[in-house]
Amino acid sequence: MKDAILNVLQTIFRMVPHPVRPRMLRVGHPGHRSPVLVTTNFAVTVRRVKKALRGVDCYLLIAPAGGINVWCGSVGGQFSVESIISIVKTSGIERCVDHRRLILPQLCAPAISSAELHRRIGWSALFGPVRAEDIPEFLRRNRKVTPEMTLVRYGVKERLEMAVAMWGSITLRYTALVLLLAPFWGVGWTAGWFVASVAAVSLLLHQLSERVPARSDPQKGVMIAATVFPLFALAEWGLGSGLDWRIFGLALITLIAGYLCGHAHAGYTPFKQCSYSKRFYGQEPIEIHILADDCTGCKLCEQVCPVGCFDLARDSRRKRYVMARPDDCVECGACLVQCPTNAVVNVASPTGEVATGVLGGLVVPHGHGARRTCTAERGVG
Amino acid sequence: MTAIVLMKVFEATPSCYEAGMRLITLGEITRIRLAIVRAIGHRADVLDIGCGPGELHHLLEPRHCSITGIDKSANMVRFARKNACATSPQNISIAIEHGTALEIDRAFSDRRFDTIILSFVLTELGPDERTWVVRAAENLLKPAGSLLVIDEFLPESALKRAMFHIARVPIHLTGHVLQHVHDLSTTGLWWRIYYAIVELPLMVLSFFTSEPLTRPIKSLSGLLPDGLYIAKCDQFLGGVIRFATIKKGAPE
Repeated sequence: MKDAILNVLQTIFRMVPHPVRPRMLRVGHPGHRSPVLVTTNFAVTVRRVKKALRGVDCYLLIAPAGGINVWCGSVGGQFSVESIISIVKTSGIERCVDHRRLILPQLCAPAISSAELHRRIGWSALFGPVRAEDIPEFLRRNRKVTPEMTLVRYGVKERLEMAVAMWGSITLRYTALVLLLAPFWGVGWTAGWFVASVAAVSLLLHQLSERVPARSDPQKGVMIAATVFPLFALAEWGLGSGLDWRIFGLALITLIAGYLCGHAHAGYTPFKQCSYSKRFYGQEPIEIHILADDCTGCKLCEQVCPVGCFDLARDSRRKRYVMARPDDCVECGACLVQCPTNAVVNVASPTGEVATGVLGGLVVPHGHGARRTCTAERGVG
Repeated sequence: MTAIVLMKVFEATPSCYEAGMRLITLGEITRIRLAIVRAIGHRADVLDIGCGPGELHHLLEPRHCSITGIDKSANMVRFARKNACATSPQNISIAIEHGTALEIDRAFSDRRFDTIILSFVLTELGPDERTWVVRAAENLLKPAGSLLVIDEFLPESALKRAMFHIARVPIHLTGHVLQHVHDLSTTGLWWRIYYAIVELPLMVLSFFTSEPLTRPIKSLSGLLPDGLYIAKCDQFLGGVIRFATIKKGAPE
């Protein structure tokens, strides 16, 4: 029950960090050869991973990452090689196992390179699946991921979760500003109408965004708001609150809510970039290209790409990868960081590289130590 | 206390760091550094953990020291190296490494030092990290070596501690907001003002849910393993900042 309440609250206020104490957990009855998994110290993620690991014997290292989820923490710079170094050194895991191999969540690939980890602390790392639920299957398959395990999912459940998160953050951010309109309708009506409008629009926008016939997200938000308003007005008339003609003035508040939701929407999906991050955090553009001569076909880029951008080249005699679906790229930079031969380059950058910690990302984090962070609520732990 | 919070704002910009530190500590930083210099012997091998831009190193020139600095910020490391080259000190050798305090065991596994400095480092670490760093530092000390800890401490009496916490909240909240606005890469004052207004509710909420910017040390003796003891402890800024000289071996 306590977990359920915490889950709801921490989803509504997902935009702020929810840290738990970094530590090592013994799950089941681990031995000297048991796998060592790593996750971030975001409370929601820790609960999900612990739940997914029921029945598995392993060690779980909860690394210090400012209480932010894996993907946002890694693109924002909070979940880094330093986080892993810290938890490996302080947890005493070195005395618990004979091996020196970590299993990392795939979505930390934009920040954590196995080669760097090995150079700095002598541990190697293997990327596991995107989602915690797939970990038992991943371990059963002798620590091999299936193509499905490497892709971010964005189904009804994830969309609902992101709608709730967006509702929480937009109402927190803008309710005070919208209350400037309170003299027209009163504080209660203005705030209540805005909060309800944001809830309705964010819920519908997340579930229906691909089906709304508009070009941009703000347009979609406004269209949904225009559809929602008559229903609200009808409900208000049915309740007989006696708001008379002023009800039409409240349409403005619904449209504002629609625009704000539409504007923020990209930041709450795992597939698009957010203009907010570009404006405030100087997010660098990324355009991925693979240098054919340098690619060894090691498959790492394909394995760490959360949206499946890469394919094997069909017209080549030797095994090499190509960027097959550039439009799907979410500019997370994981392939750039992980490629062992530097065959993956960013053609949008003069140096072909990108600085870790200023990548991708969506809405804004308010985490401790957040530096130019673009964290997002990408619907994944 | 103010200094430590606002330092967060300045630490990403090495050129501003020193000026900021001087201003907000009302000159105390100079006294602290002179105290550090006095605690370091002639021709000592010194390890400065969290060395920042390396301003202390030049003060050590008369001591003919060999200084090794380590800092987690690549920016600071670049700045400290440039600083060392630009001033070309005659009587000391300076080497700056890039790494965190949690890497000192591997980075200096074949070296031992006469003095190890932990200046405003422990308060930035988590409880387990602190214990680890102090133990690792002990292993890197020569038999008669000393560990110098300069940091923010919690007052001992309950009343003073309560007042300390009450005073700390607004200062830390200001530091938290300033840090977020400072970290923005957007240009234009109006965008920054817009950001600060719109994000303020989330910033305040995140201040209370996130980990604190710094965690003052409650008890230094609780962090020390058996082989270390506090030989001397000086106070600055009314006791909020303390300078502890920790020796290896048994208390005299």
